[in-house]
Amino acid sequence: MEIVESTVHEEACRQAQEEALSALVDQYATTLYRVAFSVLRNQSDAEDAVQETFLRVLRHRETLGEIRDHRVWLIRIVWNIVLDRKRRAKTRPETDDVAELARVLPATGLNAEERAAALQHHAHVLASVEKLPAREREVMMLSAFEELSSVEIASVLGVTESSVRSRLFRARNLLAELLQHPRSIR
Amino acid sequence: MSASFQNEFDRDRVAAEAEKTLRLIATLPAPKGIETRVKGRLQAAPSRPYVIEWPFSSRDGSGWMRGSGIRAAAAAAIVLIVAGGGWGVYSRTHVAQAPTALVAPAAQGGASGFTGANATRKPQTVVGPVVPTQSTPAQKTNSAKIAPALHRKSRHQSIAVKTVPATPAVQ
Repeated sequence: MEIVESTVHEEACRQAQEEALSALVDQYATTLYRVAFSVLRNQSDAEDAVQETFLRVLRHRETLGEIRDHRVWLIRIVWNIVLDRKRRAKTRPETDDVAELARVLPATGLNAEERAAALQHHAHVLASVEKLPAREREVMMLSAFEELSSVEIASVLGVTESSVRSRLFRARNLLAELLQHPRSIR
Repeated sequence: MSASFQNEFDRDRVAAEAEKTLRLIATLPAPKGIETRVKGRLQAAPSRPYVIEWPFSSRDGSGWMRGSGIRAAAAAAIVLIVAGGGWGVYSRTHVAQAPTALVAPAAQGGASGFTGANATRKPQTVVGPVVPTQSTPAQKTNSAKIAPALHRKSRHQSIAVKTVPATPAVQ
């Protein structure tokens, strides 16, 4: 009788965990996709990263109850996954980024010429961001997500908030320098 | 002053423009149906690590190992096997008795205990110490004859004879 009760309890726990995981997917899949896409700049790669994130969560679903902030926790997981993938993958040609951006960027209110100019500008900015030192680049990319505060960025990167602020300040200066004088920083 | 202010202003403007691009990318909508695809993948994935199962166990948890009596019997069998194996090893092992006395090998090379170890070449060494013994009158006359001969030998040897104690210390 005791065994039957414990089996029922386990089954209930498993079902509750599955429901919690399903709710997490509904709530955060889009956010995680955007984080992944901002680094990988490829739709299918970004979606793969999101799926891998939730597969990792599935493997450690027993710890779900111990997590205080699921959003930051999930962003941290996907962030590590995409950085790892980017390190492993060979450097993507810049033309691929532009083509992907042309496919996904909204084009409402722009004629063909303006759209081409906008794409060139975005590609130039992204190429300059790639030239930033890793620490500054990471902070800059995460700061673009308006839903992430500097405290949350610090939590994702595992650094202090003041460190995030100083890195962001340096990143902005360096990026402006790169865009104004492209050959000034190597 | 105004040039540096202008420069600073331009820098801020350029940085803000660049951040607009990053923000644009950060706000791109996710592809439709991503949640459904993720959920589908999660359901297809094995929820638990693959474990090799006992052939007679059932997945619903009502297998034969669930009975407390059988579990106790299995535990007892394991204990018996381990204890039996341990006893088998113990019973086959003969612990050697500690010897009550040690037989020392016979001393070779005289009283000093040193031998030449069958060496083909032996270096010339000094004359060994002379142990004074109680001599008979006949021996005394012999030693009186030997004494002048010792004086005739090299000074080094004579010193050795005089100075080396009867029981030399081992260094």
